[in-house]
Order: sequence, then C-alpha cells, then structure tokens
Amino acid sequence: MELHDRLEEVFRQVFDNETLTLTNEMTAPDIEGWDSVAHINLMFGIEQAFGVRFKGNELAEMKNIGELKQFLIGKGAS
Amino acid sequence: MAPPESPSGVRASPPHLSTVCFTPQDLAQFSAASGDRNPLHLSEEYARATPYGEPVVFGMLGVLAALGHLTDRQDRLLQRLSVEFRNPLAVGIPYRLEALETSAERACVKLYDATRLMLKATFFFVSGHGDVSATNVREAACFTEAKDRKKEDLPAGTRVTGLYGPATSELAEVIARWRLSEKGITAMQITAMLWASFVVGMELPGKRAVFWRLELTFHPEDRPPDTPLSYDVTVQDFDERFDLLHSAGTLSATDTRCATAGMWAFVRQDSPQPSLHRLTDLLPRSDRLKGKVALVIGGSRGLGAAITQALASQGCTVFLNYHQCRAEAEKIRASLGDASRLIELAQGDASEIEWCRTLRQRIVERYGGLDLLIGNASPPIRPLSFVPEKVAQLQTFLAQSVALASMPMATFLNDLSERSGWNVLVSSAFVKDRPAEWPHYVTAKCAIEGLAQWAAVHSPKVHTLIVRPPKLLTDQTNTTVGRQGAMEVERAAAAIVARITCPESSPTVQILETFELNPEASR
Repeated sequence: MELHDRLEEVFRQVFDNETLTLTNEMTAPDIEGWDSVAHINLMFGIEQAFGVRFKGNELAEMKNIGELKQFLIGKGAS
Repeated sequence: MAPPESPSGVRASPPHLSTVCFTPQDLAQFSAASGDRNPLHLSEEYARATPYGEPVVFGMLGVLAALGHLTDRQDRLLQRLSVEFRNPLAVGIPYRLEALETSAERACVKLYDATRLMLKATFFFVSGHGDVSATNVREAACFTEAKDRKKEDLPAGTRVTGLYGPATSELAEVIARWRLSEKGITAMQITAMLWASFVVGMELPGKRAVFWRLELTFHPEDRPPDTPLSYDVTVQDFDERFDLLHSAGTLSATDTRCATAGMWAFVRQDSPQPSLHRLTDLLPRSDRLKGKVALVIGGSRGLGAAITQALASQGCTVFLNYHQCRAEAEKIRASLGDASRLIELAQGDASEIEWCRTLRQRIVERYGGLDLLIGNASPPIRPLSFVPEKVAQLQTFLAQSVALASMPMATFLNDLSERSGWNVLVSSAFVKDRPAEWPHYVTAKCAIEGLAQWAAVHSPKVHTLIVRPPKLLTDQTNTTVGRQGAMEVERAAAAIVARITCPESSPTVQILETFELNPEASR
C-alpha cells in the first residue's frame, strides 16, 4: 500500500471517519475532531503504522499533511 | 429485507443504537465490586482539582455498558478485548452506544457524546459458552487507598504483585445492572476486567491514572474452583513525551493464568500552584493598593489565586471567594506570609443573590465599600459538540457562567461607582480564536464581555477591564497536551494588577490582551 493510503487509513481509524480523504494541503482545523486526545492517538497510530518515533510534539509543528508525508519519507517510510 | 444472520443469531449489520447514562450510584457500585477506589471517580473535591472538574466515570464501566449492549451469544465465549478510552466519560450525560457486530466472533461498540467518540471497545469471541454464574470467584482483601506514584517512581521494570478478588455480592449486582448474562462471558472474565481497572487506578500508576488503552486476553478456565487470584504486573515503558505508562501483567489462580493484560495510562502531574516568588519577579511588592478593598470571585485556584496574591502583594485587602475549595483558599492565604492578614476568606456560591447581599453587608460594614471586583469564576469546562442534542448543555453552561459574573456585578456596581473603582472581568483569547470544541465557552465569555460593556456605559465612573488571556496553565489545562504552550497564571495576574495600578488609567473600557511585562515599568 502506498504511503498516502496507509496514512489515510491511520487517520480514518483515529478520527473514526471511514470517508476521510487526505490532501497535502490539509491542516488540523480541516479535520473534525482533531483535539488534544485525538492528537496523541494520531501520533501513536502513525508511530505504530510506520515504525517511526516523533521527537516531543514534533507532529504539532508540521504545517500540513504534505509536510507530515515528507517527514515520513525522510524517516525511510515508503 | 433483513440483513443476514450469523449462526448464533447475531446480525451482521446495520449497527444497533441505544443510549446509556451513568449515575453516581453506578460508580459506587462498580467501585465496591472492583475495589478501584481512585478518587478521580469518587471524590468531587479531588476531581475538582483535575482537568475534568468533576468525577469521571470508570473507563471499565463504559466497557461493561458496551458489552451489555451486544446481542446475546449463547454459543460463544469471549477470548479477548481491545479498548481505546478516547475521552473521559462524565456522570449524567446521555451517551450514544453504537454496536457493529460483523459476525458472532467479532463486535465493536463505540460510545459517543453527540458526534464525539468517547470509547471504542472491540470484542473477539470463539465457540464456547459463557456463564456468569458458573464460576466461583473468591473474594480477597485488597488495599483501599490508591497508590500515588509519580513518573519518577515508574521506571521500566517496576513490578507489583498482590492478591485480587472482587466483592462477590456487588459483582452480581454489576452483572445484573449491565445485563451481562448470555453475552458469552464468564464471571471470571468480568473479574479480570475489574482487576484491570483496579491495577491501573490503584497500583500502576494509581491515583494519577487516566486509562488510555487496554488489551485483555482470557485463558481457558481450568483452574481449581475457589482458588485465590493473584496478580503480577510490570512496567514495560514510560513515554516521557506524553507521561504515558505501559504496563503488562497477569491475573492467575495459583499457577494457572486466567488473563493477560497490556495497560496504558497517562500519569497526571501535580496541580499547578501559583508561585508568589514568580509573581514578585514580575510585579515587585509595593503599597500602591494600600487601603483598597478587592473581591475576587473564584480566587482559590488558577488565575484567581494568582490575582489574589498579586493584589495582596500591592497592599490591597482581598476578599477571596471560593465555593468548595477551602483547602486551596487557605493555602493561597498562607502563601502570602505577613500579607496573609490582608486576605479574608468568603465561602459561597457567587451566583446566589443572598450570598452576594450578605457579603456586601460584611464588606461595607468593615471597609465602607469596594474598590475592585474581579470576576474570574467559571463552571467546569468540558468540550462540547454544537449539535441539537447538546444545546441544552450549552444553555446550562451559559446560564451558570453569566450568573457567576452578573450577580456580583449587579450587587457591587454602585459601590464601585462611589469609589471610582474597577470592574475586572476575566474573559479569554478564545473569544477571538473560537476553537471548535468550545462553542459554550466562547458564547459565555462573549456574553460576559457584553455585560461589562453595558455596565461601563451606565456606570461611567467605574473603570472596566476585560482580560483576554491565552491558554493558561491551570488545573483545567493540566493534561499531557494541554500544558504545552500554556502561559503561567502569574504573568496574567501581574499584567492585570499592573494595569489597575497604572496612573494613566481613565474610566473607560480597556481590553487586556498582551501580557508582556516590564518589571521596571511596574515598580
């Protein structure tokens, strides 16, 4: 499965939304339910799915989904 | 046309819905059965000083409600379950249960607060039969006070062991209350679920726990009857980024394993306390408010407590209003040392007319009037979805918030006018940011600001200060993520008092939104 599809699957699980479609420009306010608890769930979901580890709250500093994907590619995820 | 049925009569779709509402009696019953006496669930006083503001429902009680919601399974036996505790459940809120039973072997139940997912439990069954009355579970005397382990007490490898047994008559009541018969589970399995709650809430980490995830696997019940149960749990990891504890362990009868658990829980940090030392670094002590009299509504904790300290540090006499947090109010008074003589405690509900009138009489008799009114109190704040079924909750929050601000204002406005005093209303930067989860809070703060603006027009001698602090580090934001980026209350309090004591201040409406302080300027 492509990185984009795997990431979308994690988001769908975390935000309990089977129809959620990710785009590179999307930011947290674009996704309903992205609160502080969902943020932690998302972080751990991504870490488990891609075998990466965020430093501190690195995820919060990313501008959008596109930047998150670049981060994952940089960590060797494909 | 009906959806297809599985061999045990479980419909594959669509999801079936109902609601559940937890009562204080449900919490007491679960606590008595499980031995989980974590005060976050049972003590209003304790819960008030946490981010939740009021007692939280045991997460495992939500799981039992979910399980009871499933279709009966006479020819199946629960093998394992996986739970995500997404958000804390509260008493008195009707939660929507949505069960999706894809087969007789797998069922997923979600609890929603309107559109907000609160809990997700997935149950996995195998062929068999679960009889809640068949297993003779033995009671055991467990300790009754939750351990208070901080993160430094929880390195990987930390191990706890002990005996466990539920209170059997209360266990029977729990099974009846949540209709757990015929669900493909045994009394031993329910015991293991209660044990997981006990371990997290009482042992690892104990009092500071906020349950996040559970993976519980059951083993075949071939233990000798009436044998005592014992547990052995070890810390696997402590994630410093989020204060998240991962423990794993077993519940066994002599040498026979009954259940294996992986448990994840956040470890709450200490309640943030205003520091007089930090405050005086920002706002050096002075006598600039000597002879003035202030009333701080909601002055025992958080920003209100820091404002109380800041006013007293400038020589002001302060009536510190608190509703229920007497210990915190006394702590703030004691923190002031010599200046503690300037603090008078005023216990009561500031939204009540009689309480306000009585307090006014006391203040006028002793000091002749009032110079500063600080409206800082708010009801507990929980996220809220803006959907029709939550509008009643929004209205209740709005009514409580406005009452807490308006009753003291209506009572003391003339007194403030006589002394050309200050009417200070603590609002929030959220009135401009408008976060998605806080429609009630934003509405309440806008309403309170509107009232302050109205009062300024009709009492022109009164100085009006509307304060819009950003997210502050208080009990309400004291969560893993909430703390990040939160401003210290001392900074906001120092800026408020610096503005009040600023000689150029004229009777008009001022809005305080920036909290950068120059200590030299405030000398």
